[in-house]
Amino acid sequence: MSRVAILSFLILTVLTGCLDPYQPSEILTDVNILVVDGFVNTTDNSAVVKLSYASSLSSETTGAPESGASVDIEEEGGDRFNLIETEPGHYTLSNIATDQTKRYRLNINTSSGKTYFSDYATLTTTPEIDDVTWKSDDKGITIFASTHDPAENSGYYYWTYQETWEYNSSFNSTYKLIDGEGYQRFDQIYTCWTTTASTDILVGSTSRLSNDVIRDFPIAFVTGSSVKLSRRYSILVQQRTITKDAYDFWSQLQKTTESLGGLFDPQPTQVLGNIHSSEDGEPVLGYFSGGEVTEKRLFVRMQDLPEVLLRQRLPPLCTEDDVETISVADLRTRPNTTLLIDPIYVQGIGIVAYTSARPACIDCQVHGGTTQKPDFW
Amino acid sequence: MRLFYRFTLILSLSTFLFGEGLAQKRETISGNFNDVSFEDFIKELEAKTTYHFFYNPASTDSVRVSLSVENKSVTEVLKVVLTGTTFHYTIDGQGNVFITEGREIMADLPTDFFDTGAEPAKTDAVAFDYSAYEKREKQKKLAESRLYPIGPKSTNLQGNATMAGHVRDATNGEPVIGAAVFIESPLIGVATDQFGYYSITLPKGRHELIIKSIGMKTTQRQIMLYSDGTLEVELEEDVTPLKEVVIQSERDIRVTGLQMGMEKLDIKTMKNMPLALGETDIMKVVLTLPGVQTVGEGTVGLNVRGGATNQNLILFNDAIVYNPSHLFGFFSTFNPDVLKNVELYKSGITADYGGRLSSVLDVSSREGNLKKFSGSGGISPITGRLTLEGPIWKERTSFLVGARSTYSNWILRQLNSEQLQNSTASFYDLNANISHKINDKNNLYLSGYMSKDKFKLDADTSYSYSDKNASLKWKHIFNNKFYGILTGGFSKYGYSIESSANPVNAFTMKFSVQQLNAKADFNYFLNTKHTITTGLSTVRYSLEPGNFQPKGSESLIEPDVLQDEQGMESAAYIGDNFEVTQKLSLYAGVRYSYYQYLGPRDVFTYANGVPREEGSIQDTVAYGRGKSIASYHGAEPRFSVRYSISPNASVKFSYNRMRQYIQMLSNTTAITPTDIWKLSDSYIRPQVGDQISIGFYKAMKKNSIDISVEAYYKTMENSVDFKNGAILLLNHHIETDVVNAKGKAYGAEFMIKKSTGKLNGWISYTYSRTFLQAKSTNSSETVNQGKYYPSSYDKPHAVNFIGNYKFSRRFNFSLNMTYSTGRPITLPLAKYELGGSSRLYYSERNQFRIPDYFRTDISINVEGNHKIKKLAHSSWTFAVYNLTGRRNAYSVFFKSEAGQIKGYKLSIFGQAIPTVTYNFKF
Repeated sequence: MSRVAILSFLILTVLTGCLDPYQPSEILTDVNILVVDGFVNTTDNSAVVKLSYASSLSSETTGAPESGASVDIEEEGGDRFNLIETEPGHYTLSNIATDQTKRYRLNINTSSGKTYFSDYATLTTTPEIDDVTWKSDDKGITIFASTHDPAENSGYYYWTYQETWEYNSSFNSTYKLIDGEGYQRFDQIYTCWTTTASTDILVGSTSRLSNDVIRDFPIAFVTGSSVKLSRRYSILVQQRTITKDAYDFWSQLQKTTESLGGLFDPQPTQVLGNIHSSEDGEPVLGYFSGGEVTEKRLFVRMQDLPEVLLRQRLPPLCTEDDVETISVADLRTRPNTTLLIDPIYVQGIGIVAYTSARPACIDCQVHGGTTQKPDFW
Repeated sequence: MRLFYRFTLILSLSTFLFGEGLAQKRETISGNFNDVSFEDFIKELEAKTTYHFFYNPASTDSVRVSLSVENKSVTEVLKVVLTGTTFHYTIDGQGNVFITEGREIMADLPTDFFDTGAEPAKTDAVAFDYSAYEKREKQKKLAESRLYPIGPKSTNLQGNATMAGHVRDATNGEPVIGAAVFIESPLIGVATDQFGYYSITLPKGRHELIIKSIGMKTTQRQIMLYSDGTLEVELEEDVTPLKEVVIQSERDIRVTGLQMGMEKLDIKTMKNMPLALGETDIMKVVLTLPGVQTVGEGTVGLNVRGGATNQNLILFNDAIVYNPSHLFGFFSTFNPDVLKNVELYKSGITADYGGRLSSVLDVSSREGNLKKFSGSGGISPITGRLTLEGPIWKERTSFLVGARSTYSNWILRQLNSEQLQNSTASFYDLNANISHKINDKNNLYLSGYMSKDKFKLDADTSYSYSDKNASLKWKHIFNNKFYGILTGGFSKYGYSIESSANPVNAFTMKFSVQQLNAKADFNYFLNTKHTITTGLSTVRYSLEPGNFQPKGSESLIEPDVLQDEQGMESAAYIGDNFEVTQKLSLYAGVRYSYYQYLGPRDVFTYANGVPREEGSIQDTVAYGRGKSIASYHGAEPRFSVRYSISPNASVKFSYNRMRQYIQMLSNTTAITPTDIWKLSDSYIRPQVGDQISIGFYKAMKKNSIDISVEAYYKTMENSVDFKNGAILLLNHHIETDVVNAKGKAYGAEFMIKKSTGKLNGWISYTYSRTFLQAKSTNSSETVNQGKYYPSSYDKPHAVNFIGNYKFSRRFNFSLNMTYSTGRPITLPLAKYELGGSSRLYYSERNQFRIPDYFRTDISINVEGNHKIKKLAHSSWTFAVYNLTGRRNAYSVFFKSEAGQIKGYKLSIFGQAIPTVTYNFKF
């Protein structure tokens, strides 16, 4: 046997995959498909049905609402409750008297005279949320929900949430400009609150567990550098028990639109819910269901955040460089939209000038929030 | 011969210079010689006298000596012995005797031959040192010129006789598969089988038997065929000659062979091709052949002539391979160093193969060097491998072990991505073979394989899978015309998934499929016109379709175990290869397979006339152990015919039917390690496929260029497709999510191949279509309204160019170019708002296509120097994969991100990838 030679090797590169934006060439057809999003909330006895149409991929706008339809919720072998259109495409009804033991379905007559109906849906009972907690890592914080059903009959859960956070603009305005004169400001535009609703589909199942227990289901993730963590953050988690059919629908919808792209993900498919057209073969999108909603709110205070996250917080949008000084004389030439920060006093003379900056530096509402403090804050 | 003459000439010179005046020795000899060979006779003379004899044993071996002498001089004895032969003898002054054929040589030169009186260098008659190569050359020359008597000598040369034997590689004793063994007039020829075995029936008498094989030096044997007998032949490897010798005599196997739709690749061809990850990967090479497609690069699944990836019978030394991939499919499970060759049958599949619909990929490994201990290995950017082989018992027993592993974990940690740094991916595989020659009639082959893959993505769920298989083959030669092979095999594929990120939900999930199989194959060379093959086989399947268990004490996971599945598939076949005339030959065979789905098992029954759904379960029927739950059987006829239009052109036609009783369930585009296999049962019927195929073949330019055109039409019954949103894992009633689909595929393949010369390679164009149809009275079991829709591997146009140019013995340049139409996908047609975000409404299945695929690769092979004595023979391969850096789409998908719909195109090898590989052999 000969001796093994001394080996040497060289690694030049390793494989890397890459992702490019992709827009298919003209694939669109005229798609006029009704989309139904209906839910009967038996906790506050309200019903909300949103009707809209699908739109082509290339269109800038979201789906056109279906206005002027007649919408009712029908108890199996019983009454029908007509819903009222409160805004285009939104049909609501409060104080709906539902019976938890009965099944309900949705009937729709569109303005163009087409009729649609849903399958009968069972109203579900929903256990309370045991806990909403958060944990931090060096990237941000994750919000978790935990629940359990002592009756052991929930099995499938659906969550939505609303995030609210408080934030400040860079400079606190104490004066405002009215017709060329500076006046002391009594309202405030320094602190704002923004509320947004969840956009992801969050469904979980305990069908494979021996107990009906959800522990630490990840609901949301907030990055450390987000404005959400600049002062105070709150999240309201809403929980519903759903049926197995509803779970299958939402999890498929989630799979086909939120988590495709891995090498070994299932191929996307048409996901059709429990709404049908009276015309054969016409597809209808969306889902109708009903049941109880339970909710729980969590606040995250900034002083509880770990140092590693606090360091990631973004510096104020504006600095001293953004500040300009406007003399009282110049002020008269300025429009009312000019925002002032503070007056500049000269002893013995009084106010000689004001500091000012772009609205984005001063008015927190520019960034989407409202200055109205929420009730729960 | 030339050496011999040079030798004698020098001797003659020395005789002239030193032996002048010396009298011839006058020694005498006594003894009885009864039909001894000339060689033995001369040995005897040399022993008894001081004479040295010089002669060519190859030419004198027909001389037999029978004589009785008493005190005769050597000259007298030689005179008697050589009288009546063409041989002459000459004795020089030093007692050297030269036996020559045809004419005498002069032992003395004229005295004035040299006019200088200078003293020449002293030459020593025995000092010649033949190098190993020269020795081999000499042996080969001897073998080629010698006359081999086959069978006991007889005077009756009427009728035919059968001779058989093995053709082996002279350097390592490995059998040479597919070597042509033939005589030219009349043209009678056979090819060696997988054991290098041949059996040829010829008219008795003298013939020149020619033995030829690709990549080997052609040799011939002079035979005198008296009656049945054996002849073992060794072939020498053709070491990349600088000047190619074009052999014209042999007709091309593609043209003259009966087999159609078959591609054979040997490891040498494959090693010349540029590859992405610096390692020869047979699955990737096979993909360059016409009629073979894949859904995307970096995946292992093959789609042969419109068949699904699970419809290929992948055999490794006769054991079934369930998952031929490593590392998500970037590597195949076959270690290139242990491989010998690969045969892919796309049509005209003979009756001895069965169990899969589309194709047979028969991979065989080497048996190990019978002559000396050797090794080989290589180092590429991602893997390292080492193979050792050698004789355990010289010329009788050999072993081969190979191991391969990856350092990809180390690479992943170096990557500039946190997600990848937290990921792991690794694999290894081991091969071990032992082949043993019990005697001339019996051989044993033992082969084992084992592999394991592990990967973990972003520190959460970890996956592992492993493939094990083993086979034991016993080949027994009953006589020259009849041999049998008994094979026992075992294959097991299993995977497990583990997650422990959340202790409450921590679980392990396991799946496995296992099979035990036994078969007996017989080969009977009835006469020159008929070769009969027949056999029996049986396979016992046992599947563990899913076992879901909690992990850790905190886990609340409810154990969920799917019932095991059992099945038995048996088959008997017979086939006849019939050479009707020289122009027309045909093969007709039939395989009859019988399958049973066996208990113990509880089987759901469903209400009639309504879709099979969880809600329509009516009853559960319990079947006891070994009870037949469902059984299927059917004949699988196979037929091929070849008609030669001219010596260089032929047309072929074939038909075959295949049945498949086990299928893979996968609703992803690419094969994934976690796909499950499912036996046919009461609801999932066995797949049945029929294919007709017709082809035209022509060899041109002295057989250096082959042209072939093949067209096929194929139908498939009971292909498996899925309802929208099917759940395949841990499904207790999988029949509710599966739909039986019908498939059809058709296409044409054009190929021009140049296999010899400095420039060689092939170019092929394939047009192929493949469609599925899922139609039922129930809308949930209907896909695309029951219309035919393209399957996800339907790629109508494909062009491949494989070129190889040898600059010299040491430098070799290769270029690959691949083009194909993009595969079909399901694209979104519209967007809509639901659940707070934009959602997509998808088209019917597979109505659109991803962008076309195009790739160019190059590689340069640099062999080390050709010195005979050195530590190891090494070579370097420099390759660039995807030279143009084209970002070929692997998949296209749409995502809802923060309420916006965004389209993405994913490319795996999105840039040019250079690699360097170091290979060595010792």
